[in-house]
Amino acid sequence: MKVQCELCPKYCIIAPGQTGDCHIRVNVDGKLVAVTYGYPCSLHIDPIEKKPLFHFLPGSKAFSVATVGCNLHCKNCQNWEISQQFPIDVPAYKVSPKQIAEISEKNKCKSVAYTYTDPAVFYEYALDSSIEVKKRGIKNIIVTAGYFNQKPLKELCKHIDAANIDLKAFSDKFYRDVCSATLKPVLDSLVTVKSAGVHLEVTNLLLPTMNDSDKDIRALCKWIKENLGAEVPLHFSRFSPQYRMKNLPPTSIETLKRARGIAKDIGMQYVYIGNVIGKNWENTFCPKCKKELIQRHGYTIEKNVIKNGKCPYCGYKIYGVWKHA
Amino acid sequence: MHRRKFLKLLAAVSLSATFAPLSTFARTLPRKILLAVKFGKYPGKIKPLNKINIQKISKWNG
Repeated sequence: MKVQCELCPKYCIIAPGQTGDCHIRVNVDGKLVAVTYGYPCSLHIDPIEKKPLFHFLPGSKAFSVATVGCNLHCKNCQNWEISQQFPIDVPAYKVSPKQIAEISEKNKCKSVAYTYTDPAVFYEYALDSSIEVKKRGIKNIIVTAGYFNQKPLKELCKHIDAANIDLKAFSDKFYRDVCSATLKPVLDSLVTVKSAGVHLEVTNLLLPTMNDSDKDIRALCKWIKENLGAEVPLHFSRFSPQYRMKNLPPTSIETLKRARGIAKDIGMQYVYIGNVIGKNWENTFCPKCKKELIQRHGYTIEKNVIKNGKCPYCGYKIYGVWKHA
Repeated sequence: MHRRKFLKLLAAVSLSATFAPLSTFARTLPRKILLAVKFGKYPGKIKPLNKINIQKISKWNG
């Protein structure tokens, strides 16, 4: 008997003995099984700034978890060695959701991040782990492309405290050509996550000649401002040639600066440049008095003067979660 | 001319008939893996859970 997976907008119809497009959901005798449940292939303790989350418990550690597989097949994927493989090709740890919570507590991590590949494909594992993690007072983070169906995403949001969603471009053609996906479900996910009260930050990786025109960047920023709010931190990340896009050069610093300028002109309050270390593009400034509030160097916090979530100079409320409740 | 067109069409139909089912087979997992999945086992290798890698500096966001 064939089964249909309703987790993501691909709605794969899977025949017995076959996998969905994500490589990890298998039809076993008419039942859909997530092969990687309890078997993460990557476990790391990362600075939270690496997610990137700049306005959520800055300077804290995030226990980062991923399994094999992804529902997108981006030609520029930086984690393709785990995201585009089958479970048989990648060794994994055996770790229960309860152990995820235990390990993060033992290592004094303030949050657990479901990241690297996409929590959309290890949904059940991320959901169960997030429940266990929350019981211990630790926060949950998703780093995702947002290619979820709304029903499972809303359920997951009940246990999630912060999210970084990768809005890859503001063009359906780009999503179809580069990622084998579509734009609309990603936009829906962004709105769903924000309206669920989850702390949200958005990342846009700039690929030279593919999604870096003024028109594209302007459309993306305008949509974010109108639908999510000007306060949502926006990260423009530098592309490094990877996987099936080694033909493209890395994003130039000029392009990143141009994108930041456009976002600022449109009225976005917190705009950062990622994957470029040592410039003040990583620092947080007060949108009202323009004074520097957080100084970063790579993933290290060198200065943080935010007090009670406000600018100490003018009292303006800075969007984010600054203290572990 | 008509004959050439017909031959081209015939070649296209026979090629699709030959290779289309292969894409179905490509997605079908080997029996060994299916059995592992059925019994709740991971089909790949299991790594020992020793020390967790602590990353302070990394090249890319993610």
